[in-house]
Amino acid sequence: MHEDLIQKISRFLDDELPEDEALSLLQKMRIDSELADKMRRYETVSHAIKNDDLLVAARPDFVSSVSSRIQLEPTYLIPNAERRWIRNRRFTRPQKIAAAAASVAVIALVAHLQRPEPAPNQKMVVAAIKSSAVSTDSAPAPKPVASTIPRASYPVNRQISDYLQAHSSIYTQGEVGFHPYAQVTQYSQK
Amino acid sequence: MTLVVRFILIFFFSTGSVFAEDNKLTARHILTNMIQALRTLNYEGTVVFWRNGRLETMKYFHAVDHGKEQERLVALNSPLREVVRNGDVVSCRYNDTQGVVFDHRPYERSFLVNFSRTLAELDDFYEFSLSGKEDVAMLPAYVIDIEPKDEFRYARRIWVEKLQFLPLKTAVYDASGALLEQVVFTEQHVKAALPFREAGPEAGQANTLAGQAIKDGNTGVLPFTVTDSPAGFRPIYFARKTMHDSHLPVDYLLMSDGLTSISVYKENKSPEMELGLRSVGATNYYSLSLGDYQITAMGEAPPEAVKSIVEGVRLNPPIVQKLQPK
Amino acid sequence: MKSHSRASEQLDEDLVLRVQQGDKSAYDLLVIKYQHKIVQLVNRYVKDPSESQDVAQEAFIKAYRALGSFRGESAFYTWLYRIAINTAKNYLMSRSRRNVDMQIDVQDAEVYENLPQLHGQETPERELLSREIVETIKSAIAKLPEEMRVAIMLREFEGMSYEEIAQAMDCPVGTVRSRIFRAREAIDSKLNPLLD
Repeated sequence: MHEDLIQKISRFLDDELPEDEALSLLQKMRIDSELADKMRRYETVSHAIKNDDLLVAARPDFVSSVSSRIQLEPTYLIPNAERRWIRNRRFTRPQKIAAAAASVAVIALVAHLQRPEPAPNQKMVVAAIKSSAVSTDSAPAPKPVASTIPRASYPVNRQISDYLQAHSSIYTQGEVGFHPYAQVTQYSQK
Repeated sequence: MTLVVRFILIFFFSTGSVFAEDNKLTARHILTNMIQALRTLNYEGTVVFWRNGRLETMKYFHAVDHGKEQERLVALNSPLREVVRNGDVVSCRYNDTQGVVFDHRPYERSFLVNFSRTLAELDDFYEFSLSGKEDVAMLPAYVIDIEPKDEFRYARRIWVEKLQFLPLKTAVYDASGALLEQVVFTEQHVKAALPFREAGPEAGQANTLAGQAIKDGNTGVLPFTVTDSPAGFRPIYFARKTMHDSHLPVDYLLMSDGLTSISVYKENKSPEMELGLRSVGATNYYSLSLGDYQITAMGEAPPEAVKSIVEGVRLNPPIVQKLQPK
Repeated sequence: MKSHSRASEQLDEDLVLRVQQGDKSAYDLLVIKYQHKIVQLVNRYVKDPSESQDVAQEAFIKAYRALGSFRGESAFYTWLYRIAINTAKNYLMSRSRRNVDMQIDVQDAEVYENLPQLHGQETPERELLSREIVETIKSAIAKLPEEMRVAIMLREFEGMSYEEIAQAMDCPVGTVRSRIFRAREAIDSKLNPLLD
């Protein structure tokens, strides 16, 4: 099996393959059982990492079984007008169902969204946390609403940078060439 | 014993014992065990910090030997640097220049999770609950929710590993439930021992570091105090620092409720100062002008908290200070 | 919205359109894409790997029959997911009517998440194999070189995109892609004797 194709399976699993290549890969999997089996194995690994149990995968003849039954079903023919309407519509993103994955996906999203206006009632937080807890099909935290607090973005001014650095000991806000305030004279160690 | 039989025994005994133990543990038990584990175990791993909108991966080490502790973070990204905590002193060495900076932080105990009061004392301000179980870094963990009892604090969640009770992940959420900050291990290992790294100021330098730890809210003689702060927030540390490459000092007061910290800065007014409420990542800060000074409060706390603290600042008359300016 | 997840949804949208225009082979591609997820989902309720195959097939057939009225109000997978759950619930209800010993509230399928031992589930051999496979995977991950392990853990556990991982690890996206792929291959090679 060509390594390039296997790499594409890896990217496909991660939703990192462009649409045209994904389509081509699926078409190849339809006729190449080795490729389909590789996908099953990768999904098994992925599932085991996230869930600590074994994926119950579809049987090798699953697709062909469904396909032969579909052949007995009526064929669709939808008029052009409806087709254009469907094509132009923005599909909404499906809700993530894995709490662990959802948390950091929200991280990336929040980093680019406005901060929400703080709600006076912290019970919302309780509800949000409880609703997003624990089982692998829990819902993600609610989407934040638009914020009225001015958001500073990096790099903030020098004064605030130094304040942030003094506030946190981790120095994780370091940038190349940025050295925080020094409480003692900076010196070089061998 | 065959491999298969061993798997069966390990599988059934481990799930059975964990299930029996789960029923007896409460959030307080788990957090108490976690605080103990943080300080007494040798452990290492890879940690991803997401703070103030920035993502960073670091190697983490915690070494302990006969009561002596050291925490170490090694950056995997530029700027490459190593941050070390030895007792009250935190140092950061930058690979490119080999320059080192030191900081005195007696009120902090961990880069990961910092409880500076007992859980019993925190009861007035937070509610602790065990909300379930999840896997993090392929390790089973208890999920502990820490919910604030008023609008001056943010909610948190800590995932505590079931066997060793070390934190695997922590998160801070704002009032609407949006994630503000997260620290997560992608792998974590407990070791019998870990080496210590030599990292500390030279003998003569140590005295110049010291700020003033404040016990029981007794601020003594300080340039300013905070009146009417939100319940539970009390001053715990004061220092006079040099910042912005300026010769003029900045007075720094740290307020904390035991879990949430708010830093308060007082310095001479400057042209670049920005007044009012702003935020960067999870951190809110509020500045106002008071006489000849600018006062700023900053912390991972709701805007109500930082605003309340800044507005409660009162300047004390200039008298002889216990703390000599640097 | 991240471009990579849009690519996946766009693909689904295009395939649905093709099916609605009469191309049944396009539906095969949707089945290929989601077969394992749906079987796994159904098994969470049915708790019988063998029965789950048939119930999942039924779910795909029902989805095809309903495709004519699918208007894209939700993403295709979300819609398919709901059909699969309903199919599993209906199967459990019909099974409980046959099994007079069952005294279960069948109104909420989530009840079945916590019920012990419905009939016909994992054999001891399969349970052992499951445990062994999972342990093999964990062991293989632990042995991975650092950069490969971090990359795959950030991807699988934290759901980060390649771009986000590249930023976190301060390396090009192509390097992330390669690390994750090589990690998967390394783990897969350890599974050969168990999965074949």
